[in-house]
Amino acid sequence: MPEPLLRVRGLRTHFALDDTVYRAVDGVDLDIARGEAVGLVGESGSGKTVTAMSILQLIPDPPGRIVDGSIELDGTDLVHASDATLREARGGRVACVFQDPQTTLNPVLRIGPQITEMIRRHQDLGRAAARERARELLDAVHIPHAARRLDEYPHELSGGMRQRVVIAMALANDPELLIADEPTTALDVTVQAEIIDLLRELRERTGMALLFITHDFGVVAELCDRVVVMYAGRVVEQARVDTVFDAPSHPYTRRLIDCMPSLGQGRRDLATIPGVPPALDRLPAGCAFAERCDVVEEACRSGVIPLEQVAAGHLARCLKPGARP
Amino acid sequence: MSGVPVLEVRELTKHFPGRRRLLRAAPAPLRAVQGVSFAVRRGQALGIVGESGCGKSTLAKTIMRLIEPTSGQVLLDGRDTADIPRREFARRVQFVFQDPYSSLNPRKTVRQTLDAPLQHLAGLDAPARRARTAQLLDLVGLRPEFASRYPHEFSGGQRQRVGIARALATDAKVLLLDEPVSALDVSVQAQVLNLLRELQTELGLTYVFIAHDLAVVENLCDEVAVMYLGRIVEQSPAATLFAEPRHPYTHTLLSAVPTIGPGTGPRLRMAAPMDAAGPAGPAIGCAFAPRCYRATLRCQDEPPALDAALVGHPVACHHADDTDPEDHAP
Repeated sequence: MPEPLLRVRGLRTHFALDDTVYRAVDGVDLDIARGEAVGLVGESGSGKTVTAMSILQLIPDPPGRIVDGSIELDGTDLVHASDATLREARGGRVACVFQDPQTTLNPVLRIGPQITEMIRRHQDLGRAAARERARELLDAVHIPHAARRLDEYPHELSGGMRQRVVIAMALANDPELLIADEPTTALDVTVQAEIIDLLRELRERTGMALLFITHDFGVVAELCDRVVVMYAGRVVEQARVDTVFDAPSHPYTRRLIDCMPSLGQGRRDLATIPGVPPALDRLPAGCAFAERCDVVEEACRSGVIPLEQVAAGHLARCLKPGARP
Repeated sequence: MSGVPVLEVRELTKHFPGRRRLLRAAPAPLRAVQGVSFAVRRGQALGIVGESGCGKSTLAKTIMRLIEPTSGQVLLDGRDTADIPRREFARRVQFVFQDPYSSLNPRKTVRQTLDAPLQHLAGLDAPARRARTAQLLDLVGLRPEFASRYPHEFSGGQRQRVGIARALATDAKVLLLDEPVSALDVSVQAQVLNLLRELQTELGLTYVFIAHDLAVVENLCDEVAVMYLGRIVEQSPAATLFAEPRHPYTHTLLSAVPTIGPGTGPRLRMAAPMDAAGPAGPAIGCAFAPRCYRATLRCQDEPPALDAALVGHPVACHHADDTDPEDHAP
């Protein structure tokens, strides 16, 4: 396998509040190849967003801190990088799109200046050239009447259009990696479908890699090549998209998929996962999912369970991968 | 099909006046709900789906009489709710809100939250309230000691259970649920949906369930109404609606749902984005026409009625019997 674009190893990001340490991210290994789309899936509090923020060194310190692990972008260490290197990476080689376009855009600035600021920070372009580039970007994300939109304020656009503007800003400097954190969660299904199609198209055209954070397996199935599943701050499974749905190895992945209602099944009882995830300041020894697992055994409750290969390109953090009750 | 429906809505309309500006003509009112009619029988669940801004929450609030309708009637067991005293209405029809974080008072324990309806609506004395609280908590799957806890001590799913217990406190038989599971994680969402289904069977509840997630609606509802810009455009039993959608907008909603499994890939894109039309829509004709792949001249000029004549269930489309949406895909 060629050298990945992004390589994360043993990442641990902890938050210290009132003498309590919350292990928000406590063991994340993640590779993203050039041009690859990876879905990072998990429920609230599983550490997806903290992982993404850690990659760009955006964790507020204090209270948060990367206590262990390495993050390499194309061989460059980001954890100990200088501010100059990080400025170069953020919005340049790595761009971000967040969940709520309402809060990402500055409400009192017109769209145009917000995009040109992004462009001119990384490229040596004059005002007029930057504005022209901004118009091209809005065209690229299929915003009608792009030239006119540059002079509008964010509140004049619909939610879907605002998210397109945010994506246009992210594309401003031809990023090699786009990190999208729940970019469609706040949108209607029809608008979500448009944004997914747009991301797919942009990826084909620009060859950028994508780290797509979501809690929705359906979106991942439509957009991603590979899935990384997180639970209680740890990666518990990694595999190609079709493998995860056909033959999930970790009991958590299997049961999370079973919980999802899907169209065409009518009125029926849904499978559930009893219990709740462990508190992040009191993670148990062994497997964090043991308490809720239907194939748990004694060995699961002690030591450190490693993320191991179960097949080519398929990793699981489980002593009984693929086991069923 | 026995007897009078528990809840019936007749030609319900709610317009919000536009804001007047100095020296300008009064703007057109926002027509949030336009002539909506439906009936729900005892023990049934009616799902209402549509995109944000389609008027589904306004419809729910109008039914609840939280806002006054511009015109139209809501009937409870055949009686106009305008003639039902406020307290009696509140005893019989209750609301479950979307966000269990903001719909519970953070400074009240669960017991205090439940006491309010039990005391003021049901008129129970303290020992009776205590017994009823324990019973309610048991009903929604919470432990009795939770009664003395505050909302922040609960997870999202547990809070939504408290919200459901509050709605059931006075033995209401009709519940309006506005996106009750959309703020919850998948595994918790499944638990709450199962609870709602159990309670419905056990207590013979009638639900009006508002949601944007079609899979969730299918999981809970017998019948589904699809709303677009204030109007119901298609209504049918859930199984029919999801298997054979007839309105192009229903098609569009269904094709937009991301799915797991083989054959996922670029989907059939069936309607133009909302921005093409804008929420005001055309003055005459079908409101969906600007986005529609089937639209003809007739659609521009003549608004389609919600009519069951063409395909056997109510669809507001001149071309509802047109069965080949693929041929029209752009």
